[in-house]
Amino acid sequence: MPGYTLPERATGFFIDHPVHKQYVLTFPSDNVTWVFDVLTRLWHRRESFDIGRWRGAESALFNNEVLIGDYRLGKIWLLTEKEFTEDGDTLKCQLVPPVIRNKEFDMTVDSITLFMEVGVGLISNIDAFGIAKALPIDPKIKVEYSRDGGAIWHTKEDLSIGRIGDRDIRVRARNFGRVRKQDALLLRFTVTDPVAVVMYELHAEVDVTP
Amino acid sequence: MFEIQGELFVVSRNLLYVIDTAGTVTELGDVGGSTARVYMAANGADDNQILVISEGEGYIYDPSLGTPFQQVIDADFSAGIGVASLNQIFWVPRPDSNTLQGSGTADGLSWDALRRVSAEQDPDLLVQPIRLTSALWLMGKKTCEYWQVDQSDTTNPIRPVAGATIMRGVGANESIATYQNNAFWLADDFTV
Repeated sequence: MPGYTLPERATGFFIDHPVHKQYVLTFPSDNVTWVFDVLTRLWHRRESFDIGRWRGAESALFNNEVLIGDYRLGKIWLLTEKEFTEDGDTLKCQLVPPVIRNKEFDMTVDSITLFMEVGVGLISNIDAFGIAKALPIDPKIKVEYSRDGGAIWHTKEDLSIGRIGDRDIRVRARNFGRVRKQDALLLRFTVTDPVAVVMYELHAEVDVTP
Repeated sequence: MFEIQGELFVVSRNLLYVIDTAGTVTELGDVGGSTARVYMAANGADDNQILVISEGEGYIYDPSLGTPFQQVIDADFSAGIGVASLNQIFWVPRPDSNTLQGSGTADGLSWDALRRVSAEQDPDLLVQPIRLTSALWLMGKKTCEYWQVDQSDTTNPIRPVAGATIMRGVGANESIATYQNNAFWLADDFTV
């Protein structure tokens, strides 16, 4: 964890989640929170909406529930898979997979398919502005790409991940164009709708040009 | 937050609360401090005294005393950060030293100047003690020492285990977290 301002002020705590035991480490001077998942042995960044760091500052497993202490409000929250907001704030889920690159040859990226749970949309047809829609809300995943190492991100498109019960949806973006051998293609997937986000695998279809 | 025997003890700002399984919240009183992290441990006595360390002060919650809690006023008590409990003794570091001091057995209000040990494998300062299984780790700035129970010494019933020192210390005092037999912390080289 190099490069942070005043790392000696970092604070840590453990979340005794029934499945995903997690060590949470926050660098308050840089407003950054990292989480290590003991099950997957992977790190991820965790942010509260428009704050930077995560609001969680302490945790306890009590009465078979995972409780989280909020450093800003002094409140205690329930951490549960059944809620998709953080005290009503948007819970943004973002995946940045490894780069797509071929050091030997140029290539053309025809399509990217993200295998994830689909048809998880809201049952309610009331949108964020309180307006009733004819159909249940259709949650989206934003697909972005970068060709300069993440300095500039371009929006490719917002793909549907399916209204509730729509299990036939394929999350696929096409025509990313040519990637020269000295370059790399970075992808970023973001969901901000209040739905469960479960991603399994990413598949890229490419044509290599010798 | 500290859970024990169906009760959750929580310090929010300067106030200590207890929450039961029905969600009933009871304010126990003021433990001083404002923003600094507090540390809690139970000593395993019959009524499970709970020691709260808050900005250098200690507070004992003991249901058998009939009062919400009492401040530790023993002249031999001086606390840095952190607290661990082993064999009914609270262990806290003395501020800016390599010394760990122990409470009376099953008595967190009583502290004896003779019940002190020093982490001397390396001349670094002691950050805080943590308990894993039935032993203590004395987490220092440069090293972490492993100490076991020593029942043959009634004054200081713990001793260091030779050759069990980790030559890696703590880079952020408040980064230490434990889970069962595991400890996580930001080390002095800023790795985890």
